[in-house]
Amino acid sequence: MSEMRECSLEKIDDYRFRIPRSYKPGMRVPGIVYADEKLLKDIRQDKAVEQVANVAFLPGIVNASLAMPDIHWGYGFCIGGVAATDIEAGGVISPGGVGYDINCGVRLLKTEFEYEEIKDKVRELTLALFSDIPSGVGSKGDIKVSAREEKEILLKGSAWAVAKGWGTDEDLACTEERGAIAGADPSVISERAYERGKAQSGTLGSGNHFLEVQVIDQLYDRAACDALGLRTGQVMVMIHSGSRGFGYQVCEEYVRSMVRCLDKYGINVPDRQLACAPVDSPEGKAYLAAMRCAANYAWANRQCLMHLTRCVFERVFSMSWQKMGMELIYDVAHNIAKIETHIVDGKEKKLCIHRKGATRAFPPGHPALPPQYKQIGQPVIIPGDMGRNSYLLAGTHKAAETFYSTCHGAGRLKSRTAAARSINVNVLLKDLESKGIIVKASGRATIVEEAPQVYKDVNDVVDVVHNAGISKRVCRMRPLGVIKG
Amino acid sequence: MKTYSLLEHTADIAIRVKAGTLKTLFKNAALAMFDIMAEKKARHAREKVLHLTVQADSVEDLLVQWLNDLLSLSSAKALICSRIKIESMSSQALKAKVFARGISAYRLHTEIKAVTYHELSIRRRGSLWTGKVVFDV
Repeated sequence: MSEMRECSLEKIDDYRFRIPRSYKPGMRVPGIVYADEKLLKDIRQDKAVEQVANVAFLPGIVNASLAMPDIHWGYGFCIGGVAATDIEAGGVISPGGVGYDINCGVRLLKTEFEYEEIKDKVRELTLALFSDIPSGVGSKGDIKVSAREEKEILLKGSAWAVAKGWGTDEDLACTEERGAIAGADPSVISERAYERGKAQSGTLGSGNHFLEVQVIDQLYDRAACDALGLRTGQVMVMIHSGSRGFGYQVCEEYVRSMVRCLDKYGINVPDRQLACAPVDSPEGKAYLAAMRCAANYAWANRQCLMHLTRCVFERVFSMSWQKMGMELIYDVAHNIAKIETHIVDGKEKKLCIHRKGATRAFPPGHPALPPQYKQIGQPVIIPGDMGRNSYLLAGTHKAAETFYSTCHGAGRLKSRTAAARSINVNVLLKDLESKGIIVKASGRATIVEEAPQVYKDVNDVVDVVHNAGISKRVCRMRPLGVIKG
Repeated sequence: MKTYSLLEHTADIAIRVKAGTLKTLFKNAALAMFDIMAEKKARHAREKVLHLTVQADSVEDLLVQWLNDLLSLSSAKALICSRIKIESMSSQALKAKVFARGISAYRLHTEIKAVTYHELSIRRRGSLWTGKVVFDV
């Protein structure tokens, strides 16, 4: 990138690098990038580091503008960023710090199947999942909701789906915020957002969203795996989706209104996509209420997707999902802003934590965790690419330094245009099949754009967060059947 | 002839659009967005006509708002825009007639989530207007 300045990153230790405040006048705090020397080479290729520095301009930001090792160039905020603002000190909330896909997130469920038991059925299962789970650009599902019901989704989140019989109370216990964050206010939602959301409940979407049948190929923490009932060779299902058109509309409308807040509140940021307003301002409160509606929409969506998945398994294996042991391990957001209490300079502070392409990772004993996870810490789900691995991690006490946040995936390495130039879809599909991976997608372009080689190796990313101590490895999965939008 | 080119961006899609007038620049940017999203497959799909009025504080904001309004309309009504006639335009407002067809007449490629303000630019050099827009995909 010719216009990019060479950023002098200061090495703190093997896994942390500092962008000093002197890098750019206006930075209120330094930037800290979690990476090793290998990942840093890739990170320096685009403008992500510059974006970490830009986030440090936000009024009220505390400690540092943080970047996880899967960081890459986004718009406004980098993807893989964490920013905490002190609400009492006039700290801001930025819709761009959450992103358009509000509460894009992941859920992981287990089965009691061994790979050996189902290996001859993986193709049939993948085709059945592809046929029954609506996916692709602008996909619409069979779940049609009335305007009154849509309002209920915005308030109740996953519990709306559970009340319909599409899940259990145990599912809610294993979902961040029990699948519905308090403070959602449907009255701040525009007609257009309702219209966009109406037909998209229970749909996967496109791009990097997916549903994967996976198998555990490596255990790292025996005690945690025992507590979770996980073993090598066990078949798992991972679902990655978000708030669909509903969330995009909410974010777009609030970015638009907050661009005007920059003048109103005298806020100076180097990129207008960082538009923001004080959390305690009328604009900040309205955005939070709307964002929470979209977050609840996304949790309901993933609950519906899990229900559809359980139904497909029941049909393919002629067994109830309960008998197949299809229990939810956890569901966690990785595009969200949350009001949380953390210790800053020895004092308890109410902070607005933006996690944009970053995952909450609460430590053992945290009060927000369900009883079964009090010992091991919060399950953290890290999706990789369709050809390599995905991970289950757990939260740690050391992650206090990142406001209990960690990475969210592998992180993109190559652009879509570069992928289209260099990857042949037939060669790719053959290569994946030779590794025992079956891929079904609505469009062939998506397969190319999401090819393993356009991502960083998730193993490298997880090595950094594990070695830096901001979460720890529990087990690793590899894909068997992949559904892409 | 393509009126836009794709620029390198790691995660998203960035385009540069060119035109002889500001009006045409706005039209070309919109058609570029729909060209990225979808490709026509049915020959004889009926066109619907929609009327759109957009206002903003600056010409750059007007571009983002215009494209976001089109995107949101397309998503809510399941339509892809095929032709555009910008009827009147200033640096802070525009009125347009938008011709669109149902998405079933198209092969859909890429879901654009939104049009961003990141690295947004509109420049004029003599009789050539260029614009840069980054889409979240």
